[in-house]
Amino acid sequence: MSWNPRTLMGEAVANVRSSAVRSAILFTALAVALGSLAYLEVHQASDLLAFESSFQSAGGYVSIVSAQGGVSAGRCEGLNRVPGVVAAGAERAEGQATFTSAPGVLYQEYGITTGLARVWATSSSVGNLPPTPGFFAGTALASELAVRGGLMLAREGESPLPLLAILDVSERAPQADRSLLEVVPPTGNADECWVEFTPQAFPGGSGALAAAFAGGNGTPSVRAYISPDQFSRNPANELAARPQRNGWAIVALLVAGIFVLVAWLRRAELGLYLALGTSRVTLATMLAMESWILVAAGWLTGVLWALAIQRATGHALTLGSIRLATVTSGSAALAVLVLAPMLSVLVARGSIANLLKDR
Amino acid sequence: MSLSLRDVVHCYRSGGVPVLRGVSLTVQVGESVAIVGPSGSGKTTLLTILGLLTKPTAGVVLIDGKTLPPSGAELSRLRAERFGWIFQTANALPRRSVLDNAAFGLLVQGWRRDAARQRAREALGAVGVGHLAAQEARNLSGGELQRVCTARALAARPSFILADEPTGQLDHATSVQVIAALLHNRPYKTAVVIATHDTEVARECDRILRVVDGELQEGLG
Repeated sequence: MSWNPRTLMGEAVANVRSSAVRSAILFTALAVALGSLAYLEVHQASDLLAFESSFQSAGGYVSIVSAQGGVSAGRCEGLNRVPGVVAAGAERAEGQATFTSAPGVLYQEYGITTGLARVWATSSSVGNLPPTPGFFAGTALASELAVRGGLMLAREGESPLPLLAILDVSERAPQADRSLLEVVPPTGNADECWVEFTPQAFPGGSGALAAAFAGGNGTPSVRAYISPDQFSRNPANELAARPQRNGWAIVALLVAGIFVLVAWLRRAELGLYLALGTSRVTLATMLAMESWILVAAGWLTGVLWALAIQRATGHALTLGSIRLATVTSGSAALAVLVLAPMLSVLVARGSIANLLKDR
Repeated sequence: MSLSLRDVVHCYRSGGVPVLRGVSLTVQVGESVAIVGPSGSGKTTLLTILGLLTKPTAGVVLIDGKTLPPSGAELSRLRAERFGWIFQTANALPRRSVLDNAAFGLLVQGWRRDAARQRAREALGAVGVGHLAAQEARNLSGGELQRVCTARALAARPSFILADEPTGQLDHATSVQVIAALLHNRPYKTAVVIATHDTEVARECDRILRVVDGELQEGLG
C-alpha cells in the first residue's frame, strides 16, 4: 500500500498552495530565468531570422556553375533530386530577337529550363512554371510593353505563342526582369546551372558542385550568386553560434539548484514523509509534481513576458523566433523537471531520524 | 504480532562509544512499554531503531519473527502500515491544516483524502482538539500540536505506536487526556512504546524498561 496517485497529486498541489512564499520565490526564479532565456532568443533570433530571410530571398544560398563549353542542362536538372537542393535549373541565353508585339524595340531573350523557374519559386509571384510552350515576361518588360498574361507573342518568322504569366523576378534576378523567358526542355548544353541549397546544405553542396559537372566541356567553375562583400555575415552560422543555444543547460542547472536549496530547507518535512512510510520514489514523484506545477506556470509566464517585452520595445516578433524562444526555454524547463526532483530527493538521503532532527 | 530487537548495538560514529550495547527486546501487540532513562541515554535512538528509521550498527530487528526486507520500498510499506509516530519535537506539516496533518498517516497508506479526513476527525476528537481541525498547524501551541500528532498516530491504526516524550510539552490535565487516548481508550489492538522522563506516565504502561549505560533493565530502578 502506498499513496493513491490522485491523492499524491492533491498533496503536491496542497504543498504548493500552502507554502505561498516558497512557491512565489520558485515561481519568480523560474519566470525570470526562463523568461530571460526566451527573451534573448526571441530578440536575437528575430533579427537573425529576418536577416536570413533577406539573405535567402536575395539568393544567398544560390551557386552558379559555368564552363567554357557550357554545362549539361540534363545534369543540372538532375540535381533537383539531391537532398539539400531546393531547386536547380539551367539558363541558356539565346541572344536578341525582334517581337511583332513590340515593333522596333529589341529585347533580350532567354531560354530557361523548368528547374531554374523553381529556383525562383521563393518569390510568391513566380510559382512552378509548367513546361508549356509559351513565354514569361519579367515585370519591368511587361510594364514597358504594356502586355499582360494571355496575349500572344510571335518571334519574327515563327508561330505565335501565348504569354503565360508576368513574373516578378526583380529581387532574385534583376537582369531577367527586362527579359522574355521561354521554358525549354533540359536538353543539350546550357550557359549556366543555377542551384539553390537549403542554408544547412549550402557550404558542402556548393563545394561539391564542380565535381558533379566534371567530365563535361571544359573545367566547371562555381561561384556564389551573392558576392561575399554583399553579405559579410552568415546568418546560419550566427544562429548556430548564439550562446543561448546551449545556455538553456546552464539556466536549467541554476534553477534546479534553487529547487535543491529549497528541498534542503524542507528536509525535516521530507523526513516526516519518509518516516511515516512514503518511499523515496513516491517522494521524488511528489516533488516532481510540485515542480511540474511551478515550472509550467513559470515557463508560460516567462515566455509571455519575453514576447510582450519584445513587442513593447517595437522589435519584430516572427513565428520562427517565437518557436526558437519556446523550444530553448522549454528545453531548460524540461531539464529542470527532470533534475529538480532527482537532486531534491538526494537531499533526503541517509538516516531518516537525522532528517527529522534538522529543524 | 510482535516487534523484536536482538543484540542491537548502535554507534553514531564508526569506532565511537556505543549508545546501545547488545539490546534485546520484544514488544507484543496490545501491550504498552515505557522506556525511561536520563537524557542522552539512547531512548530516542532505541525508538528510531524499533520504528525502522535508524539502521543499527549491529544486531537485527524482527517483525513477527521475520528479518526486515532489504528493499527500501518494502521498508517504507512496513513503516506506513505497522508504525505510528509521535515525535519529541512535534513533527507536523506547519502550513497544512490540523485535519490534513491528522489524516497524513492514512494518506501514506493509500487512503483517499475524504475517507482519511473522516477517520482523522474522530481521532482529533479523541485527543480533544477536534475543534482545531481547520486551523493551520503552525498556529497551534506546542501542546496542541503534540495532540494532533497523537491523533495522526491513532488515526492510522498501526500495529505499533512509538511515542518519544509525548507529554513533554503538555500540562498535567492535557497529559492525562493524551495518555488516556494513547493507552487506555485505544479503539483497536496496538502496542505502544513510550520513551519518557515522566515516571507517572511510565507507571501507566504494562512494562517499564530502563536504559542504563546503553543496556536495558526491567523496572524504574
